[in-house]
Amino acid sequence: MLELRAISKTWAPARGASRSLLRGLDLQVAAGETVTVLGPSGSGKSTLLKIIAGLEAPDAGQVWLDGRDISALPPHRRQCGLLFQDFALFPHLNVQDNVAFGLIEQGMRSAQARNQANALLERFGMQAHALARVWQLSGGEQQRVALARALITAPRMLLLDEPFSALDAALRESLRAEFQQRIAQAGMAVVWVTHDEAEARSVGARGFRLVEGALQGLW
Amino acid sequence: MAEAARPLALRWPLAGVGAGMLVLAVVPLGFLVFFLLAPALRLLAEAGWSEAGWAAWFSPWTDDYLRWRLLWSGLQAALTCALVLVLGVPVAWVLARVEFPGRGLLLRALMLPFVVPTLVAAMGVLALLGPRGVLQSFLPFSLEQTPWLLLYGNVFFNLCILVRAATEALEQVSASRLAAARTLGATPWRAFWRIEWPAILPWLMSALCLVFLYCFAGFGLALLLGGARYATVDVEIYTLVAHELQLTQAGVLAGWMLLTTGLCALAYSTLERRLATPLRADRIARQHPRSAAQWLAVLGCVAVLALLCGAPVAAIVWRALAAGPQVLAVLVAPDTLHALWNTLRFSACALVLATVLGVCHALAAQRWAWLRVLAFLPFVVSPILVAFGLLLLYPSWTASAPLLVAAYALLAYPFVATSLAAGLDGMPAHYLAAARTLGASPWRAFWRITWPLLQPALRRGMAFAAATAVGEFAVTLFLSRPEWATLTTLVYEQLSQPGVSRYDAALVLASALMALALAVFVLLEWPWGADSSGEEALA
Repeated sequence: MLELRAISKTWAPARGASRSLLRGLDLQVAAGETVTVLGPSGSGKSTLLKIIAGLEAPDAGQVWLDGRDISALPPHRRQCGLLFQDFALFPHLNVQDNVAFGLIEQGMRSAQARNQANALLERFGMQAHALARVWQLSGGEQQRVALARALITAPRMLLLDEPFSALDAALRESLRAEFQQRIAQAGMAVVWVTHDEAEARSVGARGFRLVEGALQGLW
Repeated sequence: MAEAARPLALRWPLAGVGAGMLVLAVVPLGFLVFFLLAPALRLLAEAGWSEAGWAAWFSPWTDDYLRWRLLWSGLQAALTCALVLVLGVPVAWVLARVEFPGRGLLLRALMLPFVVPTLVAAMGVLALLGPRGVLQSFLPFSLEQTPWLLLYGNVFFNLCILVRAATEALEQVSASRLAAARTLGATPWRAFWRIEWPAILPWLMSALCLVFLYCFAGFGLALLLGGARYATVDVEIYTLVAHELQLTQAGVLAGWMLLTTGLCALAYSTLERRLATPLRADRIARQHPRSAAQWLAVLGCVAVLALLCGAPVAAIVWRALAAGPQVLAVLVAPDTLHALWNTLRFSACALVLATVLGVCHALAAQRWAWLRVLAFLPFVVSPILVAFGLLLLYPSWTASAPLLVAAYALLAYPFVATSLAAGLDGMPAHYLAAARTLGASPWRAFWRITWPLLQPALRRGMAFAAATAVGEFAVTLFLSRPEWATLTTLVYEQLSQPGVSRYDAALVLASALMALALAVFVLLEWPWGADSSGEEALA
């Protein structure tokens, strides 16, 4: 269970007035559940994900995972997967090494990590591209690799930051169904951020809109 | 706990490691204070302590000869700015808007003047237009003792700076804005003046600041091409110190130079900050030339670059090859081999030191942005002033190898620091965020993501640093010993001797020096067997 307790965050630009992005925000996401967060650009959706992942610190509030306060943990100890709009695949590593990255960071030997990465890529239908460079892949393939990379370490929570917004509509539809299926199999707490309401409704068991720093339940 | 809290960790994983960053910052700062700021202050003090007091500072303006030196230094720099602007913008427009065979090669060739040592460039101009130059026999008049040789040399060096900046700027112009202007009735010419020109103007001004800085503080070109009448302040300072021992007068001139170059550098850094905006996605696609006019524009662009940037290089090689086997034997003379050995060992030591300093500076500048400006300081203080200041401040170290290597490194390390800083700026923050969420600690994320992706930027910076060290001339003249002659000082020595054979030998040696600088540059910059992914990512 992922739990956000009274999270607040203010954005203070170098010039101009500061603005409250998140105001005492509470959220609970059960293991295996997908929650979607809707909101326009600049509403604080990405900041919310960064706070959960430990990439930004909240001004106030805590992040709990499975009954443990993880607010003080650095990102690499949070057991969290994060998917980006621009995939964030490492260009100097091939597909296989991108997927194996997290396992090697956990201390696994490279050969073993690559074997596991290949096995996962096979399940994703991407084994033929294992030795390819990431820029040689299409947008959809890159996002599949990014999902495989995020899932291979079996994180306890998965955060998706508008994962399909860089893809065309047809590809978005087909990938969405595929991703839902793979994520459901992994049984994690999932927070899916998007500005597309149709996408939000199709993937989220519960949906919220981020309005003036607070979550409003939509369904 | 702090690790989780710092948003800077997105951009730079070491940001939270306070003590480590402090050490990184102290290394280049200490070096700058010891080898640049302290000598510069000592220089100013030399003039400040004079008996004439404050009046000494204004003495150059009451002396016709020195006033001309100062005014001419500014005038020739301003004239060069005007020339490169008029010639460079049309060339850049063609390079940015037209796709033609050899365009990529031409863009790469624009790096050439950055690699060619100033002394070689001056020799190239002489080989082309000097008293026995390739083109001199076709000209009805002599260019000797005129300002044109120096201006030509300045344009050779600085046209490429402006063309590269303008090309980059033109490539950032928004395609949709230009399209909007055209649909609103603007002709291509009007669209250029009303949309493209305002967009590229800050870039041009920034490039012109650099051009002015380089020309105003130029030494090698002015020494060889300026003659008695058209030499710059730097040459005058060298003469006052090395030949006339008038240190106070030299200190006063150095003060005026520092004031001018400092103001110019300030303008440059202000403009650079304005240019630090995100790149535009809607770039204008380059068109293949179809009409005769378009092909004519391409030919014109190639001709301008060939005549102004390629011809001196070609002339020097031509003259060297035509010198005959007897003169070519100078290449294997004991003095030459000894100078080559000195050049290589001093440059190698300087490169190692410059790399350490540059890496420390660039990494620390990610934490403290004001450090970035300091990386430009060695560009602001001319090599002659550095050498003069070092001589005054550390007289007991004069002609010591460590001081010479440190001076080389001082002039070379900004290339490493600025190239690496640009590489770090271009690193998408998401890469590090992804690595951190995948379990990498800050150090691991740096080692596995940041460092490999920085390799192209590091190689490029090192290549420029190495080329600078190989071609260093001004500092070597001041701080070297006779037995430490490098290829540059050997060329100058040959040139200072009377006789045609000496002149030809200088040309041959200058060709060898150019080949060496190019070889070192290519060796370091070329991605030998390396993965180009880093460049792809940071492009």
